[in-house]
Amino acid sequence: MTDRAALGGIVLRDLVKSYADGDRPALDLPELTIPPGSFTVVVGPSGCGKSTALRLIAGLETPDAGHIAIDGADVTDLPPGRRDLSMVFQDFALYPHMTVAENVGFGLRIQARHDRRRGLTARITRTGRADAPAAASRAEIAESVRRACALVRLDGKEHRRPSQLSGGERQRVALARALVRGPSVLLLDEPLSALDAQLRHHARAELVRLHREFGCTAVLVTHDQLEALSMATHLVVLDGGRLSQAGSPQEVYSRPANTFVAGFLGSPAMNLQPVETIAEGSATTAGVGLRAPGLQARLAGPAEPLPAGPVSLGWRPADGVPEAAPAGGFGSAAGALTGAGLVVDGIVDIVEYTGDGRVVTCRSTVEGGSSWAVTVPAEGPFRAAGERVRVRVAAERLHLFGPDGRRVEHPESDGPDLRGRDRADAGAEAERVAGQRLGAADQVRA
Amino acid sequence: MPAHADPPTPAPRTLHRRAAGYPRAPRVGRVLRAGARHAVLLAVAGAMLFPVLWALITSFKPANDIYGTDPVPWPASLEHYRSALDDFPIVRLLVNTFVMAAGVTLAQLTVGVLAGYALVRFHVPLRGWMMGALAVALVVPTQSLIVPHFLMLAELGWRDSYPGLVLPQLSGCALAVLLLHEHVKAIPAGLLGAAALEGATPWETLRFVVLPLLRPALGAVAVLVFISTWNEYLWPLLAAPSREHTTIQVGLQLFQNQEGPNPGPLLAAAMLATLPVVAVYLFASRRVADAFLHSGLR
Repeated sequence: MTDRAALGGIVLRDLVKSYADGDRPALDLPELTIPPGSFTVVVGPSGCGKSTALRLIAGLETPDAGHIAIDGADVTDLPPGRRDLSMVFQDFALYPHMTVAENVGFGLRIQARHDRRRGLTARITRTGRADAPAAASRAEIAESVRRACALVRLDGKEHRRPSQLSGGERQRVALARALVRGPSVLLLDEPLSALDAQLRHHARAELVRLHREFGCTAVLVTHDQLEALSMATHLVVLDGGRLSQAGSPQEVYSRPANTFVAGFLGSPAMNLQPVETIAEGSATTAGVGLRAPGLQARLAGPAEPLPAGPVSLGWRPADGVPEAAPAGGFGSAAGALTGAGLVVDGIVDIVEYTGDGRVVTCRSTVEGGSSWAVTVPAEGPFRAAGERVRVRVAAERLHLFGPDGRRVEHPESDGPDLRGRDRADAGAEAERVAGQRLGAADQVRA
Repeated sequence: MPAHADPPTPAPRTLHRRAAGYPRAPRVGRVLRAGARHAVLLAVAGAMLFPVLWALITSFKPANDIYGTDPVPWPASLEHYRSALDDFPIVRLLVNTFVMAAGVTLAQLTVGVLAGYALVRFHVPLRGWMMGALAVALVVPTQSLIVPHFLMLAELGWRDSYPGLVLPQLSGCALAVLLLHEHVKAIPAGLLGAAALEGATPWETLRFVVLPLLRPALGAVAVLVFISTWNEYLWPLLAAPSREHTTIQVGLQLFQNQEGPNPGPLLAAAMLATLPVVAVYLFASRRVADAFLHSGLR
């Protein structure tokens, strides 16, 4: 059990799945690895194939092509029941005619039934007696069920039916049912979407805690980017059935691989603006200027040559620093830019109060410019609609995307050292998890 | 929704209209309308119930008053019931009918559950065509199958036997299959998936998850099939014409044919034959209605 971490997690290779009604595959993954022991969150807009991916791993659907390996073993052709995984369904899928205890113990009862039958066959045919596992007794099953219920704080409700439980309780029953067999992989299909906002926040923390105690590989599917960022140790972003980006949440957030990831993760969304490039190469300052109506930016020069065609410039609203208007009003944006970075002018359009800040949406001062957003502290100077603002963004906080939407690195981009730091963090986290791992799983399984 | 939302859209039914905040109709109009509706319903119900009621009354009248128009059978007499029970093998006929109805019900439920479950749970080639064929089978009159059935029966030597009475009536299982298929389909797919993930074989899923959830539907289909089989006349008449093996519906003929028409015992026997059906229906009418409402088949 403890050597589980050494094995390969879940590996999807050349996986293709199409449905009859779609002209292009619902899922097309050349290669995706889910690290062992990780809490992997698969995120994407609805219809991006994330649920399909989960159902393929579970074996509830068969891929058109490709292979799925769990902990090093190819399970592509195994039935769902023999993949050593369990799943929490979006609607929890509790058996309505069974009590909580019966729901949680169903898998164990089935298992015991099979073991008994196998033992009987072995005795009749006088073969393979040694390797026939002893079937769990009723008392053992009841004990496991009790432990699992206690783990998710359902004690005292074992004899209720699902219809007599609240949404949060049902979710915990589904979790207990998934955990009671101590599976090596736990699949979670939007397990929090049926809960109300307050409960969801609590359940999120609970899930992370349970995962830490069990140390199994967890795969959670969600369309909620906030949920994804906050829970994941490994983040997988899907778009239109294809992999957009995979990595640690910090890495994906700070270095989005393309405009889709950039716009999808983060709230409020990243400002993305098409810009035109002006070569500014001189003997001393090799660099590139970027310009759009009301916007001026300069980078020390791309690390790779800029691809031909329109480029987009992105910056997160939180990275913008608003500037107080000087007495004589703003000059032109171009004149205000000294050194590398971005300067953009706008007129306040909408102000949204979020509690600890304000999201200020501005439209461009110039005809044809696009609108953008910036977050400002709640206690800062109040920005009223119609007011002119100027925002500066540091060069290392700018994201550059080529005409195909892919990220283009530039010397100041925030990446390399941050990425190194994340890796170290992830490693430390994995070790910590491994240290505590499976204590709880052993308890329940015993 | 903001307070100044658009006015409620007119709903077709009074109930909805009232819920949506429309003013009530004037009281007199309401009473009149309800009265008229009830009058129509009463008239229809009366037209349907009268023959049954009259048969019931007549069955209790003494023999010499049998054609009288007195609506009260007084002094009541049980002589027709006595003669039906003593002179005719009515108990045997009722047992035969029960065996046939129960047998057909059991067979159709078995086929219906297995087919309905398989059509949902497994990948069945040509499923669309099969469902279409079942829908067509629903409208094929059973009378058109009488000749091939009869020929097969004669070939097998099953005339005047229970298998001969029961098995050919399985051909009417389309309704059971379609109804149960709808109900299996209504079970959330997640439940079947969850059972599969927990290692349950398809049989175990059927037994421990699907069957318990189908129980209300099974009850309803059982009642429907039981009643319609109980009332079956043509097939028992052909398949089991002998006194020992035929059913009550066919056996009622005996009362007419032996010494000319003998309405007293005939009506008494008919009343006895109706009792089980009425009992079953009273017990289960709500379930039947529910099963149809929830299945989308009407």
